[in-house]
Amino acid sequence: MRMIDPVRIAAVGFALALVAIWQLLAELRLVSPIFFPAPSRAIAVLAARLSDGTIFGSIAATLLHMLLGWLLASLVGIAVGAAIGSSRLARDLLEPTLDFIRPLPASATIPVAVLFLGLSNQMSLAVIAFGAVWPVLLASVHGFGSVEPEQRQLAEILGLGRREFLVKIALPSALPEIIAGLRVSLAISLILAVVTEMQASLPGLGWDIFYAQRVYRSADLYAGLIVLGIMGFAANRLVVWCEARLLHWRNPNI
Amino acid sequence: MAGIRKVLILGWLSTLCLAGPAICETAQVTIGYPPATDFLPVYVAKDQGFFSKHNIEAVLTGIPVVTNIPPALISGSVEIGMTTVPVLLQAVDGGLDFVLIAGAAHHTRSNAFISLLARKNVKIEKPADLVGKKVGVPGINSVIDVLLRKWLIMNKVAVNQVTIIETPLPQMPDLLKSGTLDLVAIVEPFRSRILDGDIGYVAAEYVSQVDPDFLVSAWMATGDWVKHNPDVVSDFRAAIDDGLAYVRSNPDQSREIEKKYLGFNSPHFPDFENKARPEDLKAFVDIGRELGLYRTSFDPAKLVLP
Repeated sequence: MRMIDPVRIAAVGFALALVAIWQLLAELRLVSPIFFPAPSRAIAVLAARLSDGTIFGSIAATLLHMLLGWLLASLVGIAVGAAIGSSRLARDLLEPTLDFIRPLPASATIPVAVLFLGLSNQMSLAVIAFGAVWPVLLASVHGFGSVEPEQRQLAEILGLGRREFLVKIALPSALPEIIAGLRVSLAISLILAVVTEMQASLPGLGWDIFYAQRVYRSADLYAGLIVLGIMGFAANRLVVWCEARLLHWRNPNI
Repeated sequence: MAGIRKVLILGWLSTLCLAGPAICETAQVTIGYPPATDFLPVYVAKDQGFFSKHNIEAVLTGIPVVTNIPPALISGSVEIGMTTVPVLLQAVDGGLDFVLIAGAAHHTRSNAFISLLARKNVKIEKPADLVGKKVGVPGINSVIDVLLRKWLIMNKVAVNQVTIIETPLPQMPDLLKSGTLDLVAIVEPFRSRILDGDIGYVAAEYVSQVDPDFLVSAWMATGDWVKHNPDVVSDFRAAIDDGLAYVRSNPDQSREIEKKYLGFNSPHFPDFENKARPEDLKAFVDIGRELGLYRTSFDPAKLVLP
C-alpha cells in the first residue's frame, strides 16, 4: 500500500489552518463582515453559482483568455529566445532594447492597447502576451545560450545544419529552463486575463469580481478569488506534470 | 475673603460670556465627493465660512469614483459622502448601514445635463439602433447606467445585446473619437467637450424620457454616525442651506468659487436641491428590481433622515 507523504498532509493541514483562522477572524468581526466575509459565506456563494451553472461561463472565458495569451507568449518567447540565445550578434544587438521594454508593467500598456485594438478580446490577448512573454523569452535566451560546448562540437562533427542543431540539440538542452519560464508565464497570463476583463468589461471571472466589488457583494468577490486560486493551482500542477514527463530523462527514477 | 471669591466668580463668568461661541464644540467633518458642480453649495459653505458659522470644521476630500465613497464612510476616512440613489440602494442591499441626510441636485427635463451621445459617423435614429454597439458609462450600475438600461427596456431593446462598458469620464471623448466606443452616456462638462469638439451628437436625451425629474445626487452618512451626531447633521444642513442661498443670490461669485474648487465652470448650474425625501428613492427601487439589481427589500422611509 502506497504511503501517504506526511509533507503533503502537512501542506493540506497548513492550508486548512489558514482557512480556519480566516473563519475565526471573520467571526470575531475585527473587520466589518461587509468587507471581510467568512469563508463559509464565500463558499456558499460558490456552491450556489456551481449549482445554477453561472460560474462555468466565466471560468471558460477566463481560461480561454489565459491560455490563448499564454500560448502566443510561449511561441513568440521561445522563437525569439532561440534566435537571440543562439547568436552572439543578435544578443548584443537586441538585449539593451529588451532590457528597456521588459520592466514596463503590462497593465500600464492597457490604455495604449485599447486605442489600437479597442475594448476587445484581441486587446486582452495582446496585453496578456506582452506581459507573459518575458519569463519564457529570457529563459529561452539563457537556455539556448547555455548549450554545452561538447554538444556544439558533436553537432559540428555530425554535420548538423543550424536548424537541426536547434531542434535536436539546443532545444532539448534548453527545455528545463524554458519550462521553468513557462510556469511563471502561466501565472502572469492568469493575472493579466483577470485585469483585462476588469478593464474592458469582458466576460470572465475578472468581470465577476469587478462587478461584485461595485455592488458591495464581498462574498461573491471572495468566491471569485477562490476560483482563481484553484485555477492557478491546477494550471501550475498541469505544467509540473508535463515537465516530469518531458524531462523524464533527467531523473529516470520518476 | 468672600469679596475676593465674588470677584473671581464674576471674572470667570465674564470670560465665559466673551468666549461664548468658542466654547461651543466645533466638529471636524471630512466630506467626500467627486468633482462636480452638483456640490457647489458645499464649496460655497466652505469658502464663505458657513460651515464655521455652524460649528463645523469642514475638510473637503475629492473621491473621483463614487462607489469608493461607501467604503470610505465605513472606514471612517470621511464622515459625510456624496452618493446617488442607486449607489445607496446597492450599498444597503450589500448590508451597509447608510442614510441620506441631504440632497444635492435634481436632474430635470428642462435642465438636462446627462445625455446619450453617438460618434458622428454612427447613425442612431431609434433605441433599437444601439443593438451591437459599445456604450461607455461612467460607472457600472451608476445612476447613468441604471437609467440607460431602463430606457432600453422601455423601448423593447434587449440590454444584453448592447455592450455597456465602464469608462472614466475624462477618457470618453478620446475613446469615442478613436472608435473604441460608439456611444457614451455622459455628463457635463465632458458632454459639452464632445459636442463642441464635433466628435459626436446627441443621440437621445434618454434620462428625461425615463424620469423627467429625479434626485441625481445627495449626501449620506452611516446610520451609526448620524445617531451619535444629530447636532452635526443639523449644522451640516444649515450650512449647505446658507451655501445654496448664496449661490442663488450671487451667481457670478459662485462661478468663481466653482472654478476655484473644480478647475472648470459647467455650462450651467444644475437644479440644486438640499432636501432628500423617501419618495426620491421609489423610482430607483422599482427600476433596480426590474433590472434584478437587489436581493433585499427596502423601506425608503428608513433610508432618508427626516
